[in-house]
Amino acid sequence: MGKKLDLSRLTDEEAKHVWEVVQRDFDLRKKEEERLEELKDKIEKENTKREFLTNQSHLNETLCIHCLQPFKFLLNSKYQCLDCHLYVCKSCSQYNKKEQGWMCDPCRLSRIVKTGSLEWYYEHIRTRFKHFGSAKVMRSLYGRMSRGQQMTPTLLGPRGRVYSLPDVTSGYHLYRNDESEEGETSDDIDGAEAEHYARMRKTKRLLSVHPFDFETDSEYSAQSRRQSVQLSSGPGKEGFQSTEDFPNGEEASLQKDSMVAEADLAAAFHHILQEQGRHTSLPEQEFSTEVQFAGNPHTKNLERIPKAGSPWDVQSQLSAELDTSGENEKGAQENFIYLPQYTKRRSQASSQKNVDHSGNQIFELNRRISLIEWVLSRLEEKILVQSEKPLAIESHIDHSAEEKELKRKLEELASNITEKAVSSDEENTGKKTEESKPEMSSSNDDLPPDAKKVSIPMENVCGLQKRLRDVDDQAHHSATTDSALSELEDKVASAVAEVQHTETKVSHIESRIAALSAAGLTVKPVERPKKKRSIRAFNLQTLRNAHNFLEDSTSPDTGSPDDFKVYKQKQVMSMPQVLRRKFNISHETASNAESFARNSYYRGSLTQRNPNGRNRKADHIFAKPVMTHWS
Amino acid sequence: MTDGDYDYLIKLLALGDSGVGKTTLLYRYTDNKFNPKFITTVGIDFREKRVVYNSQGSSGSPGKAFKVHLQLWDTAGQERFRSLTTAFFRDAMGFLLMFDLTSQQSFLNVRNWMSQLQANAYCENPDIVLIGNKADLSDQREVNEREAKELADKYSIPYFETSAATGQNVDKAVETLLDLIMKRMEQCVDKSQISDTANGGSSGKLVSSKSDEKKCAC
Repeated sequence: MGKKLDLSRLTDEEAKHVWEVVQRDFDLRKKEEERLEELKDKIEKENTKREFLTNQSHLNETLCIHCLQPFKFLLNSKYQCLDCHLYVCKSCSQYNKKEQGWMCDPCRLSRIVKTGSLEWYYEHIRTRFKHFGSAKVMRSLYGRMSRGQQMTPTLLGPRGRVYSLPDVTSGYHLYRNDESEEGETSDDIDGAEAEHYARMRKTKRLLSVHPFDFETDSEYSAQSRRQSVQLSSGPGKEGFQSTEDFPNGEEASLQKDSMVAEADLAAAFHHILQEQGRHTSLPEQEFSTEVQFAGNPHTKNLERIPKAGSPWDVQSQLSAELDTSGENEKGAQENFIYLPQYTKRRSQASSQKNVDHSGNQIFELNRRISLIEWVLSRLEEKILVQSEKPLAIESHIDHSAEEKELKRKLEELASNITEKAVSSDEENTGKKTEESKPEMSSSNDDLPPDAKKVSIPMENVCGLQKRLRDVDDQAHHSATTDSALSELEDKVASAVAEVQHTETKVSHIESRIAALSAAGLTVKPVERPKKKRSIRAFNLQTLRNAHNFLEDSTSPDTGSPDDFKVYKQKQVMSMPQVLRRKFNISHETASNAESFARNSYYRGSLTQRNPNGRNRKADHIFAKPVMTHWS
Repeated sequence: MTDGDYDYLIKLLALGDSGVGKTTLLYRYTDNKFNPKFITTVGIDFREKRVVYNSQGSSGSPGKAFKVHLQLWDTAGQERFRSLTTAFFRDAMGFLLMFDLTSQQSFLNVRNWMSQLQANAYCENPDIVLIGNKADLSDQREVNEREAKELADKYSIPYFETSAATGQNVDKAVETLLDLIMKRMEQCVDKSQISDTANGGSSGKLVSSKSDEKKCAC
């Protein structure tokens, strides 16, 4: 339904009227949005309170969980809520005739919110259309109306977290950007050389909107689309799939929106998460803003990086800067969960330096894996214990706290392992690439087979982490049902199996490395900077990536893969090849077509962030001068 | 007007040929007033109204009461605004498809509007009521009730003969549409709750929700 909306035939007066109506609609949407947010907050608070209260054992046996009035025989009898199964007094609940049971007010409220947020409806809209009607009309009218009046900042609604404002913010951003870019784009773009384009983007990036996000009806987007075709005409096609399949970025984001619907199922959700773990391209994409900042000469921008001090900061920053308009909370969370993965990749990029110590590392790896196994078995025990007293809700929280602790430990371990695996991955890659450097410049795309294989354990570990998270979640939700518990057990078992699998992989790596060194390849040991490690230990991913990038670009002599690529790129001076290499990496890890589609969905999840390939490429293009400087 | 004290925001949209009385019908509904003067709608407009919706329990007994905020989109029937108005179809959850009982042509065009709806609404089978307006002008009547009813049956949508001038059936038509939408909303949520529970959420509602899924297209 990407039909262009031609409103040029409207008279000015008519356009003004329509504009006003649309603005009224936006106001209403905004209010609705705020209302839903408020309700959600309320529910959230209530849930927190309950979690705390149910922690006190048997409290709910005698007190209403909502108002804390004591239950008394006949006078204040207790009712069990249909949804939360907690006991509430009569005044805090209502009888639900349809389901013939009592429902406490908070659960009723959350049902209303669930119904009222109309997720299914907005899913439909997103599946069928790019924008809702008002947004579409507003887009078409914007150019016309904005000449007369300034966009009122009050119109910038809350960032698109909830459904009723599917893409208002992106819309506004586009308009704003459209306006600010209108002048320079017209002549600039015709040059359309990749490098020039990237340079242009470097500055534009700061506006946190990609030109591709423009509606089809803006001439700008037509031009940038032409560019995308141009850029992807090289061998690096896969990387551009998302942009080629859909006429522009909006379409891609549309695609992802439609997939959000499918992601409804928690299982699917976790599945995707796991897949995502293999495609780290999304998070990199997300972070390219900061990366761009890092590359930007203006210190002002550099100063922004430290803001990403905690994951939550980053989350908010993401939504603020990256304009996650069409995205729901779930999506945001998914993104967030991915951050660790990404940073690991990132650090992988910079940790190539510790090329030696392979033997030690492998040993340590094995040790850690067995540790993980131990932790997992303990977790399993826990769950089994829980299954014996399935109705012990009160004690449930304690368990989950302990589980959390375990999980945390495991995550720490796993992240370490990932590092290790990654660095050995790096070793191999490093060796191979050194070995075949001359040929590499002509055919970047054949990755060393070893590297590919080595990357699998790391993915497994990531998957494992997720699995564990999964387990944890499940334990949280379903402490009461036996079936769910047995499901949990299965999960744990499979996680253990995965650990074993990882182990075999590691030993495989080991043998590979041994073979390589037997072949007489020496790899120079380079000490990894201590600083990086300590940061990593904090497990606060995001800052790291920016940080790492900085280090990457300032210490190219250590030869991290990124540097390496840039170096090669310099040699070859051809975009497509670099791209091809990049995207082959992510592409080959894709286990099937569907997962790739998912990936592209996530790529689209940040509306202006779709053109993944271009982002990355741009990084390197402007990282290049830095490299030249050093080497 | 739009304080946040309501449970649901529901968006309806009136469509149909120019002059069938969309604006006056909505005006009647929201303000209970009638303006006989014909002022063509410029493109698009909307009105708002707060109503209380009583969900019917399975036995027909009144169930819970919800405060519903209605956003009633009014569209221009004129062809020249067509591309503009159809863009708003997706912003509504339910549709008042109107024709003029005194104009055979407006009735014939109902088919076109239906196909426009199918192409531009949020889904292929949104909730619609067919409304024959100007029922008070019985001496000028060109469309008889039987053929209109047949058409509505063909699309399996409810049909009402209304009069914005007298207010006849106006509330009933809108409320019927609202009822359809609320039912769909509940079904759609129930459906998603099934998928929640299937994945380890708090179980318990699987039984009740499975039965009433048949109509929901989401």
